[in-house]
Amino acid sequence: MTKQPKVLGILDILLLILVPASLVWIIFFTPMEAVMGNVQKVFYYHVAAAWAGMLCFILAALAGAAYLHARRLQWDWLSLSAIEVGVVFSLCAIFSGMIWARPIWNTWWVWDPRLTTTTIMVLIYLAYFILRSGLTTPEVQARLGSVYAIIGVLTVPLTFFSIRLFRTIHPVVIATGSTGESAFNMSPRMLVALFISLSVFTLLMADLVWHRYRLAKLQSNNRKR
Amino acid sequence: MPANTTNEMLWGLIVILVILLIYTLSLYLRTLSAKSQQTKNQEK
Repeated sequence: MTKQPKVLGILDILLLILVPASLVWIIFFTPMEAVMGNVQKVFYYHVAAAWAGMLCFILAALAGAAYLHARRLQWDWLSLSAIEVGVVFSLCAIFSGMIWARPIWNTWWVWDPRLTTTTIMVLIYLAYFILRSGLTTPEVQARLGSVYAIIGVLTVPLTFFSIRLFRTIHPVVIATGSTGESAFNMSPRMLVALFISLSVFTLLMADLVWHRYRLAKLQSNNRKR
Repeated sequence: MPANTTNEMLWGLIVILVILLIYTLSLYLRTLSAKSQQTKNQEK
């Protein structure tokens, strides 16, 4: 296996500092929401996890398209890695959302459009692994996996825009115009916390995808021997 | 008066961190296993 790149090592160390730092910032230095209380602070990591998950699925589709164009297995490794990490982040968003919903909506789960489309998105990407495991050669896995990743990415805009397209009780975070009334009224310090969380989770996503990519490369080399 | 939801906040954040930690650990263990497989292949 090739030696770990220096940048990846630096990113690992940086995240070991940034993740706890962002947690301390959220818990101790962001204001408490006037009605919901402290549970609103879950929102910063919840949104960041959902964002990182969707970013992963978009990356997987782009890598899938690159594979179909260039037919280089490296693109398939990237697509596979991004989908695996994307599912993990999406599960983080779903479970943290359920914990937030319990005191706020008085239920763990409702079949709201946002929750339903997110569940469909995760199930579609979980099926990606079932599809791959049923295929024998790496080339067939890569070809069908790439097509699947490109088709699967349609669930990302559907999930993102579901709260704008359908009647929903899910809060709108980024809103303009007519839907602006239902958006969170965030203070500047809340916005800073959201920006910090989004940045840290984007870096964490890049780090995990990179590590998973290196593992896929190693596993592929082992299979060749 | 805001609702007292500190416990829920902690659980929400803990759930995210635990899922990420378990995934990171699985990634680490799978990499170790692949590396040991690589060493075995080289010895053959």
